[in-house]
Amino acid sequence: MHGWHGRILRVNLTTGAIREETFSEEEAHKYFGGRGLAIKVLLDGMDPAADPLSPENLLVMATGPLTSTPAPTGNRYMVVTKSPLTSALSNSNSGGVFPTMMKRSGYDLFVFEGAAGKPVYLYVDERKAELRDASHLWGLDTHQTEDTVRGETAEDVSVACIGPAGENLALIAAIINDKHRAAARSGVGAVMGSKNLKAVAVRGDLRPELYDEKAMRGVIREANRQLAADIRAGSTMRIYGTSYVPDVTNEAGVFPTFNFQYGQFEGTPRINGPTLKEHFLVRHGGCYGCPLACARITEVRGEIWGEKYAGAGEGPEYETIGSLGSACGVDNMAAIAKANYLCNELGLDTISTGLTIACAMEMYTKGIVGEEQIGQPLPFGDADGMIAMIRAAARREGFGDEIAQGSWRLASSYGHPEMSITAKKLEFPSYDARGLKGMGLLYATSNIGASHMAGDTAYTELFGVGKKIDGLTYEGKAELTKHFQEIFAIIDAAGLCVFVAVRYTLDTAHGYIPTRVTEMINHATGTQFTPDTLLEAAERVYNLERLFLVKAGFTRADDTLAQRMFEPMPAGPLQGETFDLDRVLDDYYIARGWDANGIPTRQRLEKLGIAHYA
Amino acid sequence: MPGTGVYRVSRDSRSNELVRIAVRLLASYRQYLPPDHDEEAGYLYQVADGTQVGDVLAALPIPPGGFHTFLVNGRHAARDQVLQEGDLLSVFPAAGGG
Repeated sequence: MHGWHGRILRVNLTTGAIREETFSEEEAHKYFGGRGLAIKVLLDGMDPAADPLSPENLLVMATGPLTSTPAPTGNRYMVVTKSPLTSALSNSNSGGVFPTMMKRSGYDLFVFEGAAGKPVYLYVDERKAELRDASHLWGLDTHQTEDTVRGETAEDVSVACIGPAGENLALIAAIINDKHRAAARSGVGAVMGSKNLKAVAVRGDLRPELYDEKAMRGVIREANRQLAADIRAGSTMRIYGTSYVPDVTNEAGVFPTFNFQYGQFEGTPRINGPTLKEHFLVRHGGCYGCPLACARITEVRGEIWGEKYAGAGEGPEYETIGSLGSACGVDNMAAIAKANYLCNELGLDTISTGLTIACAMEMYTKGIVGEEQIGQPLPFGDADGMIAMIRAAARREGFGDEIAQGSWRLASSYGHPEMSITAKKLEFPSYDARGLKGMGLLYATSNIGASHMAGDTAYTELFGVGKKIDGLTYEGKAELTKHFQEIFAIIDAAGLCVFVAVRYTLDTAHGYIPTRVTEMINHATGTQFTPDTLLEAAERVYNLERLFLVKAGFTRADDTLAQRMFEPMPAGPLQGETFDLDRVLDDYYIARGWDANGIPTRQRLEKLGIAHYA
Repeated sequence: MPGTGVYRVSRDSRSNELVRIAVRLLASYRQYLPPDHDEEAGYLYQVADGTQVGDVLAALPIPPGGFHTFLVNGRHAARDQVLQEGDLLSVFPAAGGG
């Protein structure tokens, strides 16, 4: 096999049994990439209706065929499981060093089943895998955990682990790798916690042979040449990372403010890219082998900003600035950075954490919860209250126990689900759906809930990469959203990062066609994909994921948005704008070949060769 | 002042024949901002009646031929959209999401 080891490490945590399984070249092509193989493992091995925090749930870590190859940003992995936050699918993606080292440990996928009787961690060193006792790690934060595991294993291990939030089954818990990278969304950290799996440590230098490395390097050279020219010209991503985005979303009126009550934040100049760069940036950082290096290594100096905010780490990224900044009405970048560091250390998703606190702030402001429940005042803009809630959520102490459940459960328990800005109970990323109709349709229909990573149409609806289209129109958005869901599935499944892949491995000028990425995959694995057949493979993966939801009991009624999106934006450039889901949902189902209930038709499944999963 | 062209003006200048607009350069285009720009208001131009977005883009101190993305009053606009008194033109490079 090329590009793949063809090996899955299956770990039964209940019995402690570890075994190697193989998969065929044909399977790796048909169920394309890490994301495709992972959904196949889930559909083959578990009941989608199972309780996500029970031993019946499977947790899959999956690399792609381009992970650990010289492909630019070939350094990503996916965490695929049933989400305890949404009861739908989790498809969380992360970069850093761990994914590359996981692949080099000799496996393409790790599958965890059952639950351990006491805390354990998995250590894999070039196909030697063992479960080790992790009792002494329980309660440690992610940084302490990584350092301790490194001390017990090897200097060059890479570690993915949970912090106290995952241990305590906070439904907004993340899996953190390399201390600052997160497979963040939809509670994957709680699934690890439910299995008593504290960490996964990997090392090695086993690299699958590539089918035609010389040809692959030719394509990579081309992509890197374009990337280098952009960097020389003053690439925004290089200068600011994603922290440049608040200026743009604020300008367009889609920057979540006071829990998405508004789309423009008065404090934006204090929490934007120039502020981060001028006052907090130490240096640029990047995932393994990344030519772009969009990460911001930052420090908040206590003597300047106050000891309570002192810390160091990475970020905040745009999404974190939105959710822990403007959505909470916080205009203090030092506090946002501190909140970000804490989320990484405690193992929390910054997006869901920020928006759940924002939801609590709205409920406090409107008199629905008071000091007697929260234990303190919690108005919008209260940076210290926000930080206190983060600490409490990870430990599930006091009101933190309610924050740990995510905003949908929090708001619903007080009779106000409309204050939860979620789709399928997953908190929105920092783009207001009212101003970007493709994004709204993405949030509503995504198999994981509201995630930009499932098909970020803002690339064309707002940022104008390749072509700028109007975010406010509905025409063509059903097809656009479907196409972006497939494009992002290809990038995920291959093991690439969206940031570089979208710009340099797609033909964005002609409608986001996966030209170079197709060539890279073919050269790596020996497949003969064309951009069209690769898109079809992605569609197959997408439909398999949808079948998981159908079997879990999801229906058309779940393909919807937070109530607030159906109400007019009160001010700003989008004043009066609403989201009209009825105008696009049926068209989307038709484009997908699904019936009016959002269920894949037999005909479409047969065309994709997966009718046996119906 | 003639009736065509794009002119950078001060906050106080006023002409009846000309349309006054504000321009904001965002993201990495901030490096091309004049030192006296106003962060809140953007910086001000007077343009001839009938001036289009594309005319102003060509006159801005940003790299020519770049992949500029622009908004007028926060909304999507065409390159040939005619600018009106008080319009805010925001310009940034097509960089991608977050």
